[in-house]
Amino acid sequence: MRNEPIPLPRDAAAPARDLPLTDSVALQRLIAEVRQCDASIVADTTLYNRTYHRHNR
Amino acid sequence: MTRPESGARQLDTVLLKVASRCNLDCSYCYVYHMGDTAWRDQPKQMSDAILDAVARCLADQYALQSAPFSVVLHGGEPLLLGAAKLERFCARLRDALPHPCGIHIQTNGALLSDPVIDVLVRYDVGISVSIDGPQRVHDRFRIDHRGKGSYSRVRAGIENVTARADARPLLAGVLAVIDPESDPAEVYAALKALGAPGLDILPRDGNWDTLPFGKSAPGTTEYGRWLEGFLDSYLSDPEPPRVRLLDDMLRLVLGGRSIKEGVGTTDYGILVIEPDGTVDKNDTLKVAGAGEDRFGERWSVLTDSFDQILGSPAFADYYRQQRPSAAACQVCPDLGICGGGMVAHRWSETRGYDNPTIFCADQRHLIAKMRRLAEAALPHAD
Repeated sequence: MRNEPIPLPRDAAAPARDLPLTDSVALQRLIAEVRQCDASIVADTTLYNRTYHRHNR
Repeated sequence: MTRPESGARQLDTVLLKVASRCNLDCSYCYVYHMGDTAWRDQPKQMSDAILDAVARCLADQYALQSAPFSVVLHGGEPLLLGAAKLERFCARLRDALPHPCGIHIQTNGALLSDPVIDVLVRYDVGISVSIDGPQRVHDRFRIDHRGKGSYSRVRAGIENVTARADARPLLAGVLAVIDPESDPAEVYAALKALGAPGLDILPRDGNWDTLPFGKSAPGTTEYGRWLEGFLDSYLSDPEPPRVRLLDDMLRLVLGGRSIKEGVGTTDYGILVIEPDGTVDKNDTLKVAGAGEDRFGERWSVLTDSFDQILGSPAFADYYRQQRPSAAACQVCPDLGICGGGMVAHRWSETRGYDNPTIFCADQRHLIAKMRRLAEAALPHAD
């Protein structure tokens, strides 16, 4: 299976509905965090969200 | 993670399997329904004696490594311990691991009663609840041993937490397994309505030999398109909670760093302690086959220290395994975001883990969408 080419992403051109999402609160929040280097978030190894907790999936 | 000054590895997270059984019988469970029957050989619950040994090992490791780490009470269903035993366990663990170390519980939520919540509040134990979305979606797979849906009980448990001012801050998030046949917008709305500050979504487990539920071929994008729909709902939300998976991937697309196992190329030191005290690898490796989550050597908290285990060649191999080895991944422009996905999802009988994730096409579909959004959004950012 490994030798199969990686499937290319579909819909390579940006559909129009992408555009309003660029103003989204969540995306702008992340942009701001990344610009602040998100160091405090990444450095906190006690964050519950740090690892991939899963339950009986 | 690796200790920079010494090259020695550190613990990030310990999954503490305090119960090997569950009060639910979710049909997709990787513990009970994916071919590994190791749970049958485990005691139903971790004993106080084993927990004492665990606590000693954890305290020793905390004294040795520079960074604090987290312990997650896990199962099976950890709340099968009952409030009294849970109290003993939490007291012992908190004594061994004072703040800022984290103690958390991943629960199906059905047993979140007031006496249990009292204990979690007393020892500052973060709570995450597994719930798959609205009742129709959740009850399709998350059933009890009589085949009855668990949604009502789980939702009541979450409401028991959110109704209490002292407990509400402990609710870290809700965690849903994706049903690619469900409506992602409906699932997003249902999860958000539960009132948790964070949501997360996980794909169903599978590999190159056993395709994940709902995925018709390795190159199809059922999960990618579902995730795209979920992303649309998230980014359209004027008051969004956090969505762990999407936030992590978007952070990487935007040039930041990830914080979650299975995303990006950061490595993690995760160990699992079974109810009998045995130390195992990441338990999701069970989906690659029976025993895949075991080290060759049988380590135990009764006889071995975490420092010994973390410094062993076997742990080094396990640690390196997080990085994908497949040639296709090495040249993939999305590797820095995808990270090769979860190790378990790379498995095939013929090539072992030397494959891209079975969700490769889905990941690339989602990442392409995120890249377009980031490219369009960055010029408009303040």
